[in-house]
Amino acid sequence: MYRLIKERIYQKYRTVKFPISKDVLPEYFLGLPALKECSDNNCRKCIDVCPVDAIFKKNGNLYLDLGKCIFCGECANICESINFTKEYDLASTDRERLIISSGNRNISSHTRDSLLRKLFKKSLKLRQVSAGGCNACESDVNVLNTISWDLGRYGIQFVASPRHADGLLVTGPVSKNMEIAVKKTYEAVPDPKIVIACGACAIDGGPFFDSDEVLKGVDKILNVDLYIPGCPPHPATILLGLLQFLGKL
Amino acid sequence: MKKYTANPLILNVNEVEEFNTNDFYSSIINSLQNKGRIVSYFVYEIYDIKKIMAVIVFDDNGEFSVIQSKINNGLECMWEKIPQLFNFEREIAEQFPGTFINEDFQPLRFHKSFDGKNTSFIPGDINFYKIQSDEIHQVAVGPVHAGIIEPGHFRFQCHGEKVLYLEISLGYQHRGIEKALIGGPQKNTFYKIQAAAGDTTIGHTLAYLINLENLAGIKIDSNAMLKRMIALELERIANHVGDLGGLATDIGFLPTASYCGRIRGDFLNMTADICGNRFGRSLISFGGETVNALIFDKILKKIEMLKKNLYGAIEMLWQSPSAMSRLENTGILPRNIALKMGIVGTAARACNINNDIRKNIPFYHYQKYFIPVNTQSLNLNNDVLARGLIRWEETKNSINMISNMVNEITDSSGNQILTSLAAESVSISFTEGFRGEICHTAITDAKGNFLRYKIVDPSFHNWQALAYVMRNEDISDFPLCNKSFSLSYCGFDL
Repeated sequence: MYRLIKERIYQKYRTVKFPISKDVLPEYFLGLPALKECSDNNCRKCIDVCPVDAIFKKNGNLYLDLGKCIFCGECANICESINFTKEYDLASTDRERLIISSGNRNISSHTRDSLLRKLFKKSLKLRQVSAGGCNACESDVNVLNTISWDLGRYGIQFVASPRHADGLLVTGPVSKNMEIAVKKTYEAVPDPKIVIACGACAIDGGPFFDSDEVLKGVDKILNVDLYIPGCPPHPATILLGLLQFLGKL
Repeated sequence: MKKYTANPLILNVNEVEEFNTNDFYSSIINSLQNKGRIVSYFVYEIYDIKKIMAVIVFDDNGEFSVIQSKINNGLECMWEKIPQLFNFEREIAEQFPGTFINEDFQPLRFHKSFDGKNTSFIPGDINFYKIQSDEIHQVAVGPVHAGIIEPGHFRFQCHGEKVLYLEISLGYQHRGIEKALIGGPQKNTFYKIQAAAGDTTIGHTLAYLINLENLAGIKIDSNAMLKRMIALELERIANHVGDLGGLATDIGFLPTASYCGRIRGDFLNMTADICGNRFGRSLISFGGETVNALIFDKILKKIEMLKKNLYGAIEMLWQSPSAMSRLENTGILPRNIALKMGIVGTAARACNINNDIRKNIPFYHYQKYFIPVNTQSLNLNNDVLARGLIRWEETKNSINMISNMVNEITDSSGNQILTSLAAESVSISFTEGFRGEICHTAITDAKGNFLRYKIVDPSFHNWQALAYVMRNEDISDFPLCNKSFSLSYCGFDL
């Protein structure tokens, strides 16, 4: 007993203040990309190198779809027009807003639905469903429950039963074999309910966007209220997205 | 049979030893009698001829064999004689239906065959083994579980609290990786492999790049090798610490659980210091590693600062009699059963089975740097505790390996560009992920594209061990036993 208490004192209080500063993120962390205008319409280098077809050009403008992006940084390695900043605020309530260009980076995870905000601001219970997720997204969602992030202090909790939940947080590209299970879990959640797509796979299939064994995103079968990009999203990205969605920040 | 020691190995497709079916099967049976272990077993098609290939490792001699046989009129199933083949044969029957003449398997992953046929199944809908009695009840769990975890279905036959039989039905995570790799490599192949089992990103990506570089005839320099080995060991430490915390969580020993949750994060963040991503995405790259050598010195300093926290958090678990009594004698996997099933990784080492690839068929500089766990001195009892203790010993050894390796890194090395892969070749690579041995086999066609790319995750061997140890245990022991094996769902389902 004495030993346990001594160790407890040694291990200290470790919960971080949130939001965290960008400076504490790793030096090479790839966050929100900053795109410059690209005048060369014939150059397709960044488009060709992108493993998930997240980059396209239209009317002389360069676009990047954060929903597809797996933040590998290959485009930034070969083109000066694309730079990944350390900005970790990436979540958005609208799928279209995840498509950014040089002039437009207006992603926002603040819900415009005031009823949802009123209902869930003080207490949000989520049921996590992994549907083809590779255990990276799952791990980084799980990490929010550790003492470092202490999700509970915000009134957000992951619960065991969909019947106790206010919504689903889905990871993975939704494999065909999980389609029924995702739908059934959704139906078991009482109204009103929200759906959160966490990670590139859950938004648009991620690296599996060309596989016919997956549905390529949860919004193919359910209405999604919040999209959290990343492969996997950094815990800070997930937490910030949730807090802004609830109007807590 | 020819024996090889090179990891990776490259052969021309014609150089692979080929037997007729009878000799093929008798060679396998002979090998298993001589302490061989089936590591990979799959069907591929080359110039419209279907062939079956087996990779067999002999741990004691540090050798392995690669043999194959043409499939003319359909093979006979061998799993009754060779239990290790059971899931491999189920897999083949699903990927290439008609391979076996007497195939009567339950679906393994619920997907259509490689030629796009056979779509009449409902995931999880199989004839589960049932014990007929008025006193027996069934417990069905999953695919969606109570925690934040991947999906899978567990069907228990219980007598009161006691589990008589557990059947595990997976496949919910199937994303069609192996089929998608045929005709590759494509530009997203690397990223699919990275997500094959997301917590083993380095283990799988390494096996893939070793094969790719082997086929491209590219040699990477010593610095790049050391950097990759450090990344692999960091991944091992982070996951082992997480799993030890998980064991503590599942027995309700909260101090170790909460400290380990944080310390695991600190190790993941070290991986992020190297590449920006906590899971090592894009950490290793084809042809060499450009990451600055100085980063590794910083990581070593961080590990040194973290050591006391880590030791304190985990040693307190072993020093608490109430925690220990819960771990002891739970989920016993008898050694002879583990050998029969071909169990790998920490689960095997907890039964005193020495099958660490880093020791037996070392790649890169593991021959020089590998520090084996002294299993004899640990007094292991094949139980949950043994699987925990092995993780802790490996964690400590990995830390020592990292500090030895960091001191040897001199400078960064350049990348090389992939031009083309050797045509009509077979390349086999083994790595040791935190769960156990990972084996990748690449076979290329006349243009140097993949005819077949076979991935075997350690979980593919080990899920059956979990089902086995639950027999005659209380159903409340299931979470603890499950955590002690720490298996990957997507690594199995791919």
